[in-house]
Amino acid sequence: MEKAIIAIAAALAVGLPALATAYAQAKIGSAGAGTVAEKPETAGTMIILEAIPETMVILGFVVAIMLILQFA
Amino acid sequence: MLRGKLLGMLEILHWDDWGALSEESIRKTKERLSLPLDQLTEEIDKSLDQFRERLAGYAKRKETLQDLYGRIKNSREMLRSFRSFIKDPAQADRNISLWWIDKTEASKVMTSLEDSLKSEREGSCSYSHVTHAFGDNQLLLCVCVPHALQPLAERTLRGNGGIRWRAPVECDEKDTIDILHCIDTMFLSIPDEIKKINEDLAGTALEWGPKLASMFILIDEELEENVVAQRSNPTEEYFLLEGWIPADVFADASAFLKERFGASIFLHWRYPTSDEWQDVPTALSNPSGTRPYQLFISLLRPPTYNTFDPTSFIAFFFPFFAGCMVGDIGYALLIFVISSFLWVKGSTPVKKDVGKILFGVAAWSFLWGIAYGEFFGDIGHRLFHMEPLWVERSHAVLPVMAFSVSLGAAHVLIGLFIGFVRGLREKNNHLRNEKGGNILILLAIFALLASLKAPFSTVLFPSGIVLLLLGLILLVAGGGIGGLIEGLGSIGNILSYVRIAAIGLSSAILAMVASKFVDILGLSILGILIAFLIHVLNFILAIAGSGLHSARLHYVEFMGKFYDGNGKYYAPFARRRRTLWKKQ
Repeated sequence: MEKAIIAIAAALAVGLPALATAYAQAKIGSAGAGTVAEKPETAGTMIILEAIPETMVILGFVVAIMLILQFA
Repeated sequence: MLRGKLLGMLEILHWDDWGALSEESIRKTKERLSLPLDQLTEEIDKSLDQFRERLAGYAKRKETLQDLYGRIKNSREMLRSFRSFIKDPAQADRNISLWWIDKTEASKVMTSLEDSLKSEREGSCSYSHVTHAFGDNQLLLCVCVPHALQPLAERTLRGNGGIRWRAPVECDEKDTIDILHCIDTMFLSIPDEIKKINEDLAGTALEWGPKLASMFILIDEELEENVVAQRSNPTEEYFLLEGWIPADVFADASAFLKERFGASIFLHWRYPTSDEWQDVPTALSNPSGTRPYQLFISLLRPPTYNTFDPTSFIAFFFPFFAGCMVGDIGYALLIFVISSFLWVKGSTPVKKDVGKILFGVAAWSFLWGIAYGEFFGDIGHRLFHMEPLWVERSHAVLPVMAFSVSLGAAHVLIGLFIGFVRGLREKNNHLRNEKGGNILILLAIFALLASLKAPFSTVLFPSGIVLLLLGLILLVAGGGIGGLIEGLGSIGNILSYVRIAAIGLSSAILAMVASKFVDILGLSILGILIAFLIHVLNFILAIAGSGLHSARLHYVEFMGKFYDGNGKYYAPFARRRRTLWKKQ
C-alpha cells in the first residue's frame, strides 16, 4: 500500500508539471509558428521560448526520482 | 515587383536549381539584355505577363483535369456494385437510370414505383432494380424499365423525393451503359493528359528556369549597383565608394582591385571611428572543424562586432551533451550512417554541415555507449556480454544525475566567466559585477556543499560564507534586486542540466522495453517486429530530443550568460544566388 502511494506521488510529480509544460508549449508553439512564418529569422528565439517550459517537467522528474529512491 | 514576379514564376515551374546555375548562363543572358535598366524592366515585365498567362493556363488545365479525375474515380467506385446489372444483356432494350433516395424512405418509394408501373400495364409490368447504400442516410437505386414506362418511372421517383444521378462528365450518350463506357474511357485517358502537361511543364522549367533565374540575378545586381552608385557622391572627376571588408581578405581584395583598375583607383583603409563601432557588421570566422556549428549562431541575430563568438564552445559541448543523452553504440552507428550520407551526398552546404554536426554526435554517442555499456539497449549485454565501463544508467540514476548537474555547473560557470571577461573588456561595471557576483555565489554554494562531506570542512565552510557575502555584494552592486534574481536563475540553470540524465534514462529504458517484448512474445515475427518498431521510435526520439535539448542548453543556459545578439551580419556587395521571395 505504501509503495503504491509513493508510486502515485512520483507519477503526480511528473504528470502535473508535464500537463503544465504541454499547455505552455502549446500556447508558445502556436504563437511561434505564426512568428516564424512572418519572420523566419526569429526561428532561434522561438526554439528557445518553446524549450523554456520544459524545465518544469525536468524538475518534476527529479522530484519523482528522489521520491522513489528515498522512500520506495 | 519584377523580382517577385520572376521568383513567383520559378515557383510555378518548381525550379530551384540555383546551385547548378552557371556563370556562363548568367553571362549569356546579360549579353542579350543590352537595353538600359528602365526600358529593360518594362520589356521584361510585358514578356513575363504573357509567359505567366501561358503558364497559368497550363496549371489551370492540370488542376481541372486532376479534379475531374478525382470525381470520375469516385463515380467508378460508386457504380462498381451496379456494373454487372447495367451490362446484363437481358436489359439491352430497356431503359436504365440511377436515383439517389433517402434510405428511410426506400421501401415506400419502391412500393410506390411498383404500384404505378403495375397500374399502367394492368398488373403485368416487369421491372428490375438494384440498390446500394452510401453513408448512413443515402441509397443509390438503379432501375431498369421498358422504354415506354421510363417517363412514368421518372415522374414517380421524382414525386417521392428521388434525385437523378448525374455523371461527373458531359457525355453525349444518353444510355447509362454508354455513360459507363464514357467514364471508363476518360478514367484511362486523363492520367495520360496530366502526364503530358507535367512533361511540358518540366520541359519549360528546364528551358526557362535558368533563363528566368539569370534574369533575376542580373536585375538584382543592377538594383544593388544603382543603390551603391547613389551613395557614391559622384563628381565629374571621381566617385567615392565606402564599405566594410573583413581584415583577412583585405590584402587579396586590394590586390585584385589594383590589378583590375591599376592607377585609376585609390584605395584607402581605416579603422572605424568611435561613433562607427556600433555599426560594424559581424562576419563569423572559425576554423573548418568548428565552422559547421556556426549554424546554431545563424538561427539567432549575430553577436555584436568584437564580442565573443561561442561557436568553438558549441562545437565541443553540443555533441558531448547530445552524445551523453543518446549513449548507445548501436544508435551511434546509425547516426554515423546518416551523418556520412548527409556529409557526402548533401545537396546544400547546410545539409553537409548538419552531416558534420551529426558525425560529432555519433562519435560522442559511441564513447558514451561504451561508458554505459549499451548496444541497442541491453542487446549488447545479452548477446556479447557487454559490461558498462562506468555505470549502467538505467540502474544507477543518481550518479548520472549528479554528473549531469556537475557538467551543468561547469558549463554555466564558463558562460558566466565569458560574461565577466566581456564586462572587463567593455568596461561595463554592471555586467562585470553581476557575472562576477554570480560566479562567487556558485563557488560559495559548491564550497558549502563540499564542506558537508569533505575532510577539510573547517576551511571550506568559512571560505564559502565569505565567498557568498562577497558574491551577494557584487550582485546587488551590479544588478540590484534583479541581480539577486539572476543569481537564483543561475542555480535553476544548473539544475536544468539534469535533463541530460533524464532523457538518457528514458532512452535507455525504452530500449530495454523493446527487448522485453522479445522476452514476452519469444523470438516470433510479432515480438521482433514490435521490438524493431520501438527501437525506431526510440532512435527518432533520441536524435530529435538530444539535438533539441542540447541546443536549448546552449541557447538558454550557456549563451544567456554573455551573448547579446545585437549585431548585424556582414553582407558583402556580391552576387547572390538563392533568395526567398517571401522574405522580400
